[in-house]
Amino acid sequence: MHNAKILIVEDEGIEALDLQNRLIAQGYTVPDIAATGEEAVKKTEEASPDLVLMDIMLHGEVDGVTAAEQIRARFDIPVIYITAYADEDTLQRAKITEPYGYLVKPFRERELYVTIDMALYKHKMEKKLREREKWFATTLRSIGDAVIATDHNGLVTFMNPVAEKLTGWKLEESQNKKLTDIFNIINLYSRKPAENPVTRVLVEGLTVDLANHTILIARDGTEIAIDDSAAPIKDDKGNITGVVLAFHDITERKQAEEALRKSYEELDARVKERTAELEKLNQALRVEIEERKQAEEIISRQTQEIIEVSTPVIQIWEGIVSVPLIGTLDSMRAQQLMEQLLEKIVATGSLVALLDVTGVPAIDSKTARHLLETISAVRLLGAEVVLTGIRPAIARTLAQLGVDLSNVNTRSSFSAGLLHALTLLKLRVVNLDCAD
Amino acid sequence: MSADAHGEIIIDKEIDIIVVRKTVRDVAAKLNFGITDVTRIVTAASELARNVFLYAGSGVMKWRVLNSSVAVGMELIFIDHGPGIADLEQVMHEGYSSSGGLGLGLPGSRRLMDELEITSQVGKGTTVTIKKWRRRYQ
Amino acid sequence: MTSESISVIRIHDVLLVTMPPDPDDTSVTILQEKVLNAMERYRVKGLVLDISAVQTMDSFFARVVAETAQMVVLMGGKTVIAGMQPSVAITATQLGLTLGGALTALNADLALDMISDTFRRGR
Ligand SMILES: Nc1ncnc2c1ncn2[C@@H]1O[C@H](COP(=O)(O)OP(=O)(O)OP(=O)(O)O)[C@@H](O)[C@H]1O
Ligand SMILES: [Mg+2]
Repeated sequence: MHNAKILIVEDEGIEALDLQNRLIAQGYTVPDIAATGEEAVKKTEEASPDLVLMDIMLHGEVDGVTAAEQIRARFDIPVIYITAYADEDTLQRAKITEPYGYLVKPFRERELYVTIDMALYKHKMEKKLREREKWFATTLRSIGDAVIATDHNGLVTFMNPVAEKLTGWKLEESQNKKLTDIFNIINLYSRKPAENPVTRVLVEGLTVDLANHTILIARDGTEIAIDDSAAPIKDDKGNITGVVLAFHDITERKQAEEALRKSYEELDARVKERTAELEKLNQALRVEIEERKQAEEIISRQTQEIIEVSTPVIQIWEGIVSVPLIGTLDSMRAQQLMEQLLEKIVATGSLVALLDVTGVPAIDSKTARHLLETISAVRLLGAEVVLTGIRPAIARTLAQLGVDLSNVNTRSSFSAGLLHALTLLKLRVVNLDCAD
Repeated sequence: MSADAHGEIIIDKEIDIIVVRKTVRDVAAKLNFGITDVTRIVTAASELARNVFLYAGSGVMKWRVLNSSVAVGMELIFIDHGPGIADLEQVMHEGYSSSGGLGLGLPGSRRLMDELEITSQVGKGTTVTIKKWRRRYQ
Repeated sequence: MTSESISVIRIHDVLLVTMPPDPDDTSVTILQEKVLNAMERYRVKGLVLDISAVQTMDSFFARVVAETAQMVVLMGGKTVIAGMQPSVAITATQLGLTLGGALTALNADLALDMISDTFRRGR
């Protein structure tokens, strides 16, 4: 790395100048030279160099190791030791200061440059890494999710404040504890321990999501609904070196869901209630309909009775009664009609009964039988029936039914029937205008 | 007429047919059957009583008032220990008679009544049950 | 006994029999004989059987009536069944009764008219 500022700490003036020349020749900048330990710290502060070349053996109170120690503690500046010889004790001390390299006198020029460049590069990288770590830690600390990291044995190595808050464990307390000791999860419904996601990640090497309805039981026994996932941490070679578990409190969401579910349930209950009410109403309606039906039945029965009563068997002439049949003729009505007609015939002494079927929509075999029965009964009384209103359709039906009307007086119209009735009574209808 | 009224008439003389008719007419009239229905019931009873007297010589008619929620009824059971009937289907056919009759008694009674049930065993006797119903609302 | 109460009356050239409300079989059988005897004796034009009082007409009664009517016809006369009650007419119809050659009339008066002039209804 050229143009880097290098502070030389060397108590031998000649050697320092030589080093300075060589460095400048190589393109480095040498802002200053310090001869003592105290000076080294002071000048480092003033010049803020990129690197310090430090002779271990310095005259004065503060030797190179102590000065390097102070520089490391106060400034983030890499130090390279230069030494001609070193006793074991000094070397041990020097090691602790984490130097970026050693140059043993006499060193070759190339050795110098390589060591300096390596130190600068390493420092830059370390700085980057530290920054990254710092950023990562800050991020983990500040994100809303709880994060717990474990090593490949499932021992806790890290947890962020959210994780601390949720589990109730402090990072310091939980470090190197088994994850299962601080991350106690159960299934909401079964209340049985839920599968530990970290174990699964360690076994499967894949990212896994926690099952639904997971409850974290915190250190103080508080139950928190959580949602989580766990991912493996792998090294460059793909070996799993640990697991990162990220989870968050879904109590609120759960509560929202619960509230939603409850409101759904309430709604459902209300709907059911309404349905039940409606059903009750329906039932009541059904009962009402049934009652109405019965009432209607009674009414229709009464109507029927009224029709029967009002099916007028009328005397239209002395000796002639007439009954217009309207609607269908069921057995009961047929019976009643027959009785009424016969009573009327007897009461009026009528010899002819006009049975008008104009109002009967259709004649089936049963109706035909009723008619024939009526005709027979009327004849037993000593009267005659004239069947009127036999339309072609009815005549055809009767023929098809095999009803024998050959000895029954039938007329297509009522007036034709009436004329026939009068004839039976030996009466004649004359037009007075045309009469002589 | 009480709801569970019932009675019994022994048929072993020709005149018992008249007794049967009188009894049946009384009961039917008391049950408020219409005149035509009374006539129908009495006529059917007359037919069956005559059959008992004619074919079995003697027997009994049990009568009973029937009650249902919608109707009042009258049940007549003619029981004899006469020769019985071999072919029930044949005797229910109009026109069949073993005595030179019209063969109308049994089939005619079925038409006049609402229900007619006949059971018979040759050599043991015959039981004919008839029923007539009247709707309460009338 | 009812059999005694049934009498056969002759009015001009017609025999008139008025049936009691509930005639028994024996009376009906005896009546048949009485009628045939009278027909033979009085040389009448026919018989009027007034059944306006009859409440029950079963197959036996109907058969005797039909037979009698048939015999009267054979003897050159007419039989008119008069005054059948509506309920009896309906029952008889449903029972399946027929009256053979007998004619019917609403009442005895009309029946008597019919014997001399079938279905004469003068005004
Ligand atoms: N109680 C009975 N026991 C034995 N046989 C019977 C009895 N009732 C009816 N029968 C048989 O059934 C036949 C039909 O009976 P049904 O009453 O229908 O006609 P009938 O008695 O022959 O004539 P009708 O009754 O028309 O005068 C009788 O001829 C007789 O053979
Ligand atoms: Mg019989």
